[in-house]
Amino acid sequence: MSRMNMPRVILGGLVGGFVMNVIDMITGLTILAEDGRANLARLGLDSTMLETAAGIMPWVIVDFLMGILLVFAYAAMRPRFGAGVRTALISGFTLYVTVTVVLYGFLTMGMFTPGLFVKSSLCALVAVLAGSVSGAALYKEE
Amino acid sequence: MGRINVGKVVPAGILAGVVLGGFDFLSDNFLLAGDWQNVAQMRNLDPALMGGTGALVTLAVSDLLLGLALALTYAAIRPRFGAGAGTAAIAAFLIFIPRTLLLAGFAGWFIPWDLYFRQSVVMLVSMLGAGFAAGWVYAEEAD
Repeated sequence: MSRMNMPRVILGGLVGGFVMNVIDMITGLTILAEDGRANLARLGLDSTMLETAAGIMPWVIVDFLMGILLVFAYAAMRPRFGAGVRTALISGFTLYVTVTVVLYGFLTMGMFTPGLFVKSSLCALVAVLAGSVSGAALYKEE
Repeated sequence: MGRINVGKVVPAGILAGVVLGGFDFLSDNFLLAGDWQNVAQMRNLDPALMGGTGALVTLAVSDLLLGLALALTYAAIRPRFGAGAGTAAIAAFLIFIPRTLLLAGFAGWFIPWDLYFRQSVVMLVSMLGAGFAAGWVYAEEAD
């Protein structure tokens, strides 16, 4: 069977990661800002820590790594479902489910409030699917 | 390209979920129980939420969903990499890596780094075991 085009996986992944970072930055500063600060204060932590460079940088790196993983998943599933947006949505949603399950676990442990969980999950869905589709658009095989 | 054998994905996913549940039970009640209780105390969380019936039910449902996602992923990438343990391992990593990346975002400030690494090792071992189980069950007509 055909080999994956790994240079295109990396390129597409970095683009997808950039898209996810932009979306996460926007949602983090708007939709999630107030709930996020209140949750940190509730847990006895500095409510502004995720607004500092030290607090933001790990998530920036995570988004780029996730972008590469999303395009890898797309490329891996491409022979099964064909090239295109539908396959990018399938592969993206599959990885999104794994992340949401972790977030749900945090909710049941009391680390998140229900409102923050719902908002975070919806924002993550948009970011992951946008990252997957945009990254997959750059992926090609010979 | 052949269709996914949904009739085999479901039992493969359920078996994978059972494997994940077994590892999580060991981890949450024995291996890392004390560490998570410490985190609960440090962060003003109710330690009872870390265990108990509610947590067990949540864990069972979560593990079933992850098991199904893992089985579906294995089936989806099978045309690319072929049937077998190698593909099962790739599927396991595809499900494991997003989870450990998310947890890494909380390491250092919410949970200690050593707990993050030990939890990640447990997650990886359980995901590989679940992946191999799913790959063992899943088959297609052409096989």
